[in-house]
Amino acid sequence: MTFVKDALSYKSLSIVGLDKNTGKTECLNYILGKVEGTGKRIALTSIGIDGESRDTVTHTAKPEIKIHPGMIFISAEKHYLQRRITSEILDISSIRTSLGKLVVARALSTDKVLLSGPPDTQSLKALIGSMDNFGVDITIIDGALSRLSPASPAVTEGMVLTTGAAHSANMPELVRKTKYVVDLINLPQVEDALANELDSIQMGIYAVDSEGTLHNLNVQSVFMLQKAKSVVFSHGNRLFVAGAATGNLFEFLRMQKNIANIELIVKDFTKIFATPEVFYAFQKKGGKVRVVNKTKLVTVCINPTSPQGYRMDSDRLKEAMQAALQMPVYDVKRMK
Amino acid sequence: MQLKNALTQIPGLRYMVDRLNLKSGPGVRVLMATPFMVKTDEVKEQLQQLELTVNALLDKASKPVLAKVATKLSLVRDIAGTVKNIQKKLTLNDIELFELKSSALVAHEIRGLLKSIGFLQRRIPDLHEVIALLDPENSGVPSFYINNAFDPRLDPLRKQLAKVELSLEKMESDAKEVDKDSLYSQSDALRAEITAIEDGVRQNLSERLRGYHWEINAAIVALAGIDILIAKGNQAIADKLTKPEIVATSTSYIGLFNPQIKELLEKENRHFQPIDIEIHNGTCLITGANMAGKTVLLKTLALSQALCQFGFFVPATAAKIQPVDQILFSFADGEAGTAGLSSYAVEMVRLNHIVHQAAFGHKLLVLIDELARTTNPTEGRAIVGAVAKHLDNQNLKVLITTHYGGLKVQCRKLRVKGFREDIGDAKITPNNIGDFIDYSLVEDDGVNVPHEALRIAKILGVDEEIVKQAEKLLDK
Repeated sequence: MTFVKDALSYKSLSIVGLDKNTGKTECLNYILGKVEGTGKRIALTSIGIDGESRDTVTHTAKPEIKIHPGMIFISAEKHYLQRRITSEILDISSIRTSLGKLVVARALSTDKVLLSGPPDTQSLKALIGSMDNFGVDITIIDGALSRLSPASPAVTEGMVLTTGAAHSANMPELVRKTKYVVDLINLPQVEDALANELDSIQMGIYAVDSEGTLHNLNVQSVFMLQKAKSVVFSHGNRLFVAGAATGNLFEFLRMQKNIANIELIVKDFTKIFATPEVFYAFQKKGGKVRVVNKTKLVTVCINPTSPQGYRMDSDRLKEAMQAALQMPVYDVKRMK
Repeated sequence: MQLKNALTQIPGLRYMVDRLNLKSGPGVRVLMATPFMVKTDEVKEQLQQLELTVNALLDKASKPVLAKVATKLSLVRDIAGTVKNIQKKLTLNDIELFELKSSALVAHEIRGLLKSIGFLQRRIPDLHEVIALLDPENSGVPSFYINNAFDPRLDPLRKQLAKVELSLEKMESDAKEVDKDSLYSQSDALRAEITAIEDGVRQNLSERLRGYHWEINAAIVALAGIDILIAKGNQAIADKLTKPEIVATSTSYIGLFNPQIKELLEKENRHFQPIDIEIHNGTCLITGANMAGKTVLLKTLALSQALCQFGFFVPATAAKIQPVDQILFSFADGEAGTAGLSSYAVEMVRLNHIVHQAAFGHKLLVLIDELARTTNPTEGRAIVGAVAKHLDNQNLKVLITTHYGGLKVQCRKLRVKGFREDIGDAKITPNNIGDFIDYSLVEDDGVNVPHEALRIAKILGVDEEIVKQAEKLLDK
């Protein structure tokens, strides 16, 4: 059963697309279809809003997420009241979104649904944790790799990444771009004690000294780092950036004398907003990056077709991906 | 006045309220709207309830039941909005119906738990008819949807729809468009029919629930009240608070302490010295050295009076409290400079307010810290004398702290004992100075106020030259 068995061994799993129309929803429906009859209890939610019947960006027909009886799904009040599916409300979460409180419901018929989920990473974590109360074996997050979403899918134990022609029509470039994201996902995690401490910090830049003690540098953003240069390394070479780690930050750090000893800590891989060139240049000079929240990459799924109609050769793309990523890759459309 | 307004005014009240372990949303809402009770019977009744709760919390048999009740209370939802919608004759949606059903079930469960220990259950109205309406299958679980038991027509229609959907799914993608279209229109028609029935059920439910809106609301308010009682009771036990006796004359405390400062001191392995005090009608002047705890005393008296009249136990070993209409105070560390006034002007404005309130004949507890401290001692002394005399009447309990000695006014006077006699060779530092002060109060004639300002200044490390100069000037 391909990667599904592996994917379902995690307590929480996110499915994220490198871009729109990279086959994320198809991949999700494939997994959900395979779960039917395994006896596993699934809960499904998303980051932000998903499940629109037409893609609002490219106006292409988009496969909706199909829910089967017994599955638990989470949706905001407004979406819940618009549903077509027959379902019973199990709980109303205290998490609030712009579309109202989140409703936890159990499907009683088979139908497509609009999913919506927690607005930020902390409440996403809380929601996943609360699924134990409903006897859920695995919580699946319909994720997004978007700068616009403050909730990060990287808090799930496992992750399935989808990529495809919609992201780049040039095969070598598509492979290179995908490999970059895979490299980011595979960044090592900081030690547990430090991770717990850093996880609750929402903003700011901190120095972490050799004892593991945090020192707030009182630098509002990485743009101010240049001016605060004198204090940045006064507590050692470890820096924690709670918000976005931009290309400017990586370039600034790369140019420091102590670059070979610098370790940058970010919340999770989605907080890195540097181009591959800048990121790899930083690493090449010895700079290290570690994350607070790490997720295990389960597999990469490819969609060789783009919404503009461009079609790559599935086999060649798969081969090229596998060679670059050193892991099995699947074309969801061809695995019935 | 409601508790939420008093929080910003009475020093230390927020500390007590913030530490209440309330479980439910309605509990917090109702607590914040608690009125400042002025009627003796009302205060007595509330404290009586709290005493019963404390006893129940200390009782071996009922303690575990109340712990269970507390857990259940966390499931109580604030459905004030839903209750309003019922009253407004609106049709409730599934989310509102779910919240109503789960709250009614929790109320029912808590009622049962309390009944088993024969405590407070009468407060919660019986909601079994509401539950029966929302749970026609009598499943007892809080989940909600318009299930087939609500209307016999739903079951066959839903089965038929499932069949149509299944055929649609199974149909090959190259099937004839005509066949597909026919199935789609069947599906749409069935869905429309089901939705219409569901809407009818919701409308009917909402109408029938209207007859119970009073009970539903009363149940939520009762649960909030029980949540508050349990939280107050647990705090009373943890903080060693006591039930004050409500009296019609003098207020008095034995072993009065300030919970917040006590906790701070205990963190440093130090000890808060409890105070005994009697407060009669009329004015009482309190003198004492600096750092002798006069301000803390006044603040604790304000806090304790407020706690009592908001239905809490008070921080003392024993207390007799006469309820007052208002607690009025002026503290030395109050916010000076607001509205462009000097600290003296702010104090005089506040003083005037107190005098005005007193003129209405209200029963007041008036606490004035270091009256007229920011002006010259000659006039300051005169002001203290005048205020003390003016407020010395039977409706008021007035405490004024001052450093001014030799006040001729005829009223009661108390003095904080101050530095212990038995200090010996102990080294006094700014950090341990508190350990060498006896904070207890003694009746005094008020002629000789303590002159320990220079001694304390020395201990605090004020420049020697200044202290010497001051001593020289005093000798002249």
